[in-house]
Amino acid sequence: MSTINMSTLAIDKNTPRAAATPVTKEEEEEAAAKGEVNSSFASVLYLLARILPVVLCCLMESRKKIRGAVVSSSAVSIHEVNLEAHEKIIHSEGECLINRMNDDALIHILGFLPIKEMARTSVLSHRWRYLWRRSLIPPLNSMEVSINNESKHHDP
Amino acid sequence: MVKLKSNDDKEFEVEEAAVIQSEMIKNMIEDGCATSVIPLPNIDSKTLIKVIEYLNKHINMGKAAETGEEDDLKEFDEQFVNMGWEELFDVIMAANYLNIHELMELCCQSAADRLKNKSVRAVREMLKITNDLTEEEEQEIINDAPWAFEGPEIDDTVN
Repeated sequence: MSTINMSTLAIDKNTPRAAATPVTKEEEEEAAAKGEVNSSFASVLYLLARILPVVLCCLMESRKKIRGAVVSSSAVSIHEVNLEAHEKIIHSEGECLINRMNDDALIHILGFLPIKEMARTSVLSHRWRYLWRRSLIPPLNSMEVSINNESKHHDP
Repeated sequence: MVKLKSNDDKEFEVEEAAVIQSEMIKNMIEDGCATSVIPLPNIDSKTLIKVIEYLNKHINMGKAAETGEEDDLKEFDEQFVNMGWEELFDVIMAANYLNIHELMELCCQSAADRLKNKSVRAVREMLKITNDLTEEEEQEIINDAPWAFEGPEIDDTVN
């Protein structure tokens, strides 16, 4: 999104010049280089916008007590990048709800679903992609545990 | 009586018969590690109250069948899991940590029931999952198991 915006900006800047004077090869190269710099700068910004909510999410995990403060200070810096990132921060705050759950607990929940429902969760996000397959495999020691439990119950 | 302390420094006294439904605490008591207060750094007081409520109700679960309290217990369980997602997740994490098998089963079953037949969009919205897959990745996953994504039962509503 940001990448497109920045490159459009670069074209806009160059268009009036191109109309007024014929563009030499050097100028063309220079403009191309400029565009490259602009778009790489934009992708850095975009990356930053993507990473920040994740970092914030982790911060909130570890510092629940100063949660309010962390949200507000980070929200301001994100707002400077763009509005899209600001929306992401709100999502990532909600996302922490499910991120608090460890994989074992989620796999346990998946274990109660029919296989069709399980498979459908693979498209939820990267984290969920292979989660359901793990709920199909019983833990290696489950057999041993159940045998032990049984023998425990039978023992007087 | 056993004393439990939540991560917000609140102490709760629970009968030993109730608290040993937690395998973790049962082991601690057996090993003589539960002489004073048991700190539970992963559980807040709000969640701990819910867990204790469950433990107290299920204290005589083994005898429920004999005393005819089975229906009563079933009704309690139904009411117990009638909570929001956030609260439910907290209780699941607590049950997982304390190793309370029955509570874990009850809450995970409830979570699964709520997710059953829901569309991908509905589940994302309910659990507030941000989709970080690209369109290509998403299509690839759907192509891997197209049968999982079609059917008249799939419900797109959020409730």
